[in-house]
Amino acid sequence: MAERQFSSLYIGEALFGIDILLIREINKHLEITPVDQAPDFVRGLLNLRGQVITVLDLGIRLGMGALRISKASRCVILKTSSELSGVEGLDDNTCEDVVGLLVDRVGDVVGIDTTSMEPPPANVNGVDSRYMQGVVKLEDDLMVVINVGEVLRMEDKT
Amino acid sequence: MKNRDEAMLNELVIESREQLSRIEPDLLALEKGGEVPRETINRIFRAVHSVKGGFSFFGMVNIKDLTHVIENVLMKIRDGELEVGPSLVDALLAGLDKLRVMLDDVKNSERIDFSKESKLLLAFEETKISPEEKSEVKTRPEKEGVEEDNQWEDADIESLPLSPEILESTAEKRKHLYLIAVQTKKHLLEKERSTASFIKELQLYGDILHSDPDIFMLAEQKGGGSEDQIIKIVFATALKPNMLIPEIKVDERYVQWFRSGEVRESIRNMKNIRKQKNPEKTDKTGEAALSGNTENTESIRVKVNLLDKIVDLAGELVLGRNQLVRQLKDLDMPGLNAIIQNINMVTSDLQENIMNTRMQPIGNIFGMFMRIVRDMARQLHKEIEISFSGENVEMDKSILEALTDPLVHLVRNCVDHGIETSAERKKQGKRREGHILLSASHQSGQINIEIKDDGKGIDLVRVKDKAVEMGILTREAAETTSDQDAYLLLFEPGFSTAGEVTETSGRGVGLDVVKTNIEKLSGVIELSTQRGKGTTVFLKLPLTLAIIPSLMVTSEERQFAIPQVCLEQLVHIRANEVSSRIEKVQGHEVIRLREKLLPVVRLNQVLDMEETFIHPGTKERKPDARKNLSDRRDKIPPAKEIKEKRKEQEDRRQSFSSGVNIAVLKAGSNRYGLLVEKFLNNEEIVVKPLSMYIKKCKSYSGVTILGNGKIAMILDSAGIAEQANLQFGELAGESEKQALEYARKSENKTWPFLIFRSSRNEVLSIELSKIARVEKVKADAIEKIGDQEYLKYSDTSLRIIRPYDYMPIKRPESVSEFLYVIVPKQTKFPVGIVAVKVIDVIDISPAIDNTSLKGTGIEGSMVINDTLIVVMDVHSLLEAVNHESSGVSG
Repeated sequence: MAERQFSSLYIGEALFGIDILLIREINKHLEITPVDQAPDFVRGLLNLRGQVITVLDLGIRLGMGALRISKASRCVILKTSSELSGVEGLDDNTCEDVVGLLVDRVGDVVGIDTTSMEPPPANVNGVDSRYMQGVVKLEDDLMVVINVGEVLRMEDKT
Repeated sequence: MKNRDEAMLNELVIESREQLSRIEPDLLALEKGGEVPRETINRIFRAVHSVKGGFSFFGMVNIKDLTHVIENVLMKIRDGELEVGPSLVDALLAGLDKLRVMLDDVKNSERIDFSKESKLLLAFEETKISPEEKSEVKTRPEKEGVEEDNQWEDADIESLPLSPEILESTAEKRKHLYLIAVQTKKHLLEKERSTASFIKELQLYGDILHSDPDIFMLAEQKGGGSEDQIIKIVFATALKPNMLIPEIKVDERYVQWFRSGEVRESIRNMKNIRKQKNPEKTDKTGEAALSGNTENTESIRVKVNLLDKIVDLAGELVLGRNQLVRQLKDLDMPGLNAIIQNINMVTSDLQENIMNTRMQPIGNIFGMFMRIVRDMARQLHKEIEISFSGENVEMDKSILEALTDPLVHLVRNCVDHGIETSAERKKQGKRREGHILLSASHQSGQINIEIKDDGKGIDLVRVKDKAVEMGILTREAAETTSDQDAYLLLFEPGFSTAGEVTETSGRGVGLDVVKTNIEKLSGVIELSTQRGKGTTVFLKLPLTLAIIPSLMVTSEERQFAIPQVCLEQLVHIRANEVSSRIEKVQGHEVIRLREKLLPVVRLNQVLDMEETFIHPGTKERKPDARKNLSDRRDKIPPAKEIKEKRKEQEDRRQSFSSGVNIAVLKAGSNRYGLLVEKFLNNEEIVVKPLSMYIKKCKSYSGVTILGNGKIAMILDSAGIAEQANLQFGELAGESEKQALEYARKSENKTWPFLIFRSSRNEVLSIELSKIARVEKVKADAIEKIGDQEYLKYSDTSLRIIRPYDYMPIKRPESVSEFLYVIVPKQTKFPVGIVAVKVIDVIDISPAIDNTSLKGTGIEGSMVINDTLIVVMDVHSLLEAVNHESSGVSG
């Protein structure tokens, strides 16, 4: 019965969703300073009201190629794990650092009955299944719910 | 609900940990023997008791049981049934340590075994001291005068140890106030009443507002406490004396009564006095009292990340203010300036105060040293005392945390190698106990820390010998090394591993690590030692790490910050000298600097940036195909040709910057040149940590937000050296060879001199190495104060010196719009020497003729290209200036 609300985001035409409880704010200020030598999916750093935010390129992270910044581009800034520590009913987590995800476009907030969420298929739009929590059928589209914890995870090898 | 419990538990753990660390010095004081103030034992007892109370509330049986055992032993000590000795303190410390282990992993504390500790403690609990010994136990009542009968004579309400809020609420409830003084032996024990039951009885009739000693201490006393003491109690009840006194069975001579009316009256008086003192505040106190807020909060616990956020926001406020000021500057509104100035002041004040919230007293870490010294000394069978001074000196939390390890290392060194055994000390006629002094003090924005011992000192001759043996120093160099410089060898990496040196001369164990750590904190370490007398290590540290002065540089259109601490010097190599100054050795680019070869790293290469250059015609950035700086300009056209070329084509690549900018950086004991595109300004930057995604990039030590809101990475000089895979060792040999060759080639050594004019005629020069920097300023920026001229220059003001005022040279005839100010290095007060024109920097051999030209501020003269150049003696010029100004003022 539990209904959760997801912010819908686009990479190209592919639709993704992130639980709004994980999101601190969505920003269109995109003056990103690149960091040389950082892993490729790190787009750079952003000054958000005096706080330095690491912006990850969700396109590269999901294996869909680097995003091009346009007028519709947005930065989805996530809450830190300590901010989330008091929130109940979450099955996903973020990390200690303040991280923003660069996406091509942001859509509406969609309410979804969690029982209608299906386990992720092996591959949607070239996205590895480990980055997906599940798939939800909307009226005219298929929304991939992102496994944020996995997207933010920093592999030890790099 | 669960969350809240957990938060409470966490809070309790933090608090308990703090309490335990606070009582450790007390315990160690107990061991020292002598008169132990009751208050010390009480303090220990209270801390342990409150830990016990807290955790038994959470049902943590293990913690409760262990604290209970400790408490029992403490009680015996307090009641004089146990004599304190090293083994008892050992047992107590072991107990506390185990308690800490439990606190560290509170959730699993139930599974931690503490049977060993409790057995140790129980053994003490069961021992009893014979009555004769008992009298010798060194506890004493807090105040003399057990015989004094009426403790409260002449006491008045104002002098009671109660807060006005408590008094007020007592008055509000129309309660009477009683002061009761009882002597435990005379009034209670002899009448077969125990202190605890007396307290309980009292509590039946009213509230105990204050007692001396603490009531819960009294309540814990088994059998009413054995020794005689006076208990003073402030008691509030609605009962009148004729009702109360028969109930509590205390002689009325020992009870003083204040009617509720009296209490109200005196509160009114106190309020009036306060109203006169600061009229605005009285309303607030009234409010606090009404809301029943009787707690007196001196400090609150704030999460560090919340503080960091506030610091960020304050920084952002500064940026916002700057933008506002820029926008409003053109508006001509009356009164606006005052408002802006006000905002300005408030903002800076706010920022400063917020920075202060991060400050903590250094005493916080001093506490742990008592324990370290004690434990080590016992192990090594030495007798060592440690004392402290300046515990209240405050420093930034982050520095304090990073300072702990080096300090521990240094103190351990003192104990281990510095101080001799008691027998040895006796032989030398020293005091039996060795002494270590740890002191801290503030000095002009810095913190000085001293670790001083009266041990055997370091044999610097042996140190030098060992250095030669290890190949750190040549034999010749060793002979010329003064003792003051010899100690620097101790900080050489690898020096520590030399076994015999550490045995004969002590010290040197891993001192290079300490030095690196201190330098990481932008600090300095120095050492002085005297054979047989002792060694002192001096540390100089900045107050805060959060803000560091840095040089801003660019590379490929990106800005980077280089912390000033790792900056040695800046070198600009002009286009026509690039190929002669930068060359290749074993495939590495190197620069020759003062006859030494330094490896050169290009920032854009080490960071794998796309290399570009600005095309002179189109002013566009284009990929750069050149691979080596030394590749170009193989043949230098004669100077004349270059001049011609310059005439016909104003901007070639990019006028000035067709040369090369190199920042010489320190990386540990090594140096290297970092080639960047441009040097910008110096800026004080706020350091922010790197996120986990970037932490692995060795080249950065942090990130900062600049005044314009842009983000710049802070470069890590050691990290870049590592990243670029610089082989200092290999190059060192090569560079020595090359340096020798170079020296042979140019028989006459040459030094760079700055050539300038301070008036039309004379050409002056100062050796470049004596100059800190040269600034171009507007002539009207120089302000006149009395006879002296000053220039505002970053934070300080420069005393401006016009050489012709002191030297036998002509004054300029006309006034120029711009002036150059030469700032010499190492002057007593900041000084700027005025020049009207800076001509050049040239390498000249210091074959100075110091006979033909003489005078104040003149070292000599030389002739170059038929021009007479006056070589200035900055030192004597400043002496003349100094002399004059002191003459004027005196």
